[in-house]
Amino acid sequence: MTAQGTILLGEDTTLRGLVHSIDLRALAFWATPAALHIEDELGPVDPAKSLEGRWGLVIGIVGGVGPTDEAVADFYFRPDHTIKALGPEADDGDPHFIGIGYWFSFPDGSFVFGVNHPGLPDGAGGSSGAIFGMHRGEVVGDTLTTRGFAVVDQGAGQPYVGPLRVAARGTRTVE
Amino acid sequence: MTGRLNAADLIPAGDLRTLSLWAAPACALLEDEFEQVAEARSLQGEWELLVDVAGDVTPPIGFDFRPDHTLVTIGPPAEDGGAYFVGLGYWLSFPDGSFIFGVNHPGLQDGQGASPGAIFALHRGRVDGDALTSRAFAVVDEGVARPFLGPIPVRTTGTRILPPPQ
Repeated sequence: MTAQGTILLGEDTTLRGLVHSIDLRALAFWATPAALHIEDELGPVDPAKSLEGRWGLVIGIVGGVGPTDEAVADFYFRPDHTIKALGPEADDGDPHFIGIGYWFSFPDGSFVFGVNHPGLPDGAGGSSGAIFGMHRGEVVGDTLTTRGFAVVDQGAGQPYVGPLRVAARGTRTVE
Repeated sequence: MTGRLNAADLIPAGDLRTLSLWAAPACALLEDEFEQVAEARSLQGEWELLVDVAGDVTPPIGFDFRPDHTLVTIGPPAEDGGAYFVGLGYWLSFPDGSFIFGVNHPGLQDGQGASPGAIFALHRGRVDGDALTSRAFAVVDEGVARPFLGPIPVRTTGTRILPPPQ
């Protein structure tokens, strides 16, 4: 994780202006009842088999060839079941994208998470458009693997690109 | 229900568009994992739901589960004549007839109904022919920096609104 990433992920307020805090709050409200259902049905999740915490992820388009088809990102799976994700450094020094989302872990180590990387304005990183991705995967020790799909929003009134098949691998960040 | 439910007038289209973008990859994952959902076992279409909150059952509430996996709903009439809430959300059905849907009832302006705040509920349930049942947890957003109310357990029963006979 970059020094900048540590600062951004550690300080909620630093993100204001890029990701509206109300968006994460709204996501937490969506995620809370869902997390309750899961615990009600399946029981609590052992922290060692949970996504909760920080992870370094490499996310790629399945079958992709170019360097733009793979991205490194720091994911913070927060205790309120929201996600903050920080993409790699762009040419202008800012993160390529900042993502928000929600996550759920299950007692057997499997999980799902959804993440949205909103587009960033010029001069604040670079983004290929608003990407919505949904992943399913498994935590094994301090590593994880996922399979998922993503769609890219090209703007109102235009069809979205995808769904594209994506996959990710990751390691837990030791703090 | 379509006739009296003109969602475009009530809800910013951007919100539903964003929800459908969230739902699209989830549906792709489901279809990848399972077979397609038979029409008779899918939520898709229009339903009337009765919601039981701690023993108080609402009048029938229309839900439109749209083909793009978003949903729109208008609550029962409030004392001021408006709808008690206008809700939007997303839904996913599974081949065995089980489903989940999440619905958010944003607060409404005074004079346009009465909502105690933004309500977020997630339902799990099952379609059985033209009937459904679900259980849910709901939380109520009382505003930024305040704790939410709940979770409140909720139960629903519903019937499919069938197209009029030809």
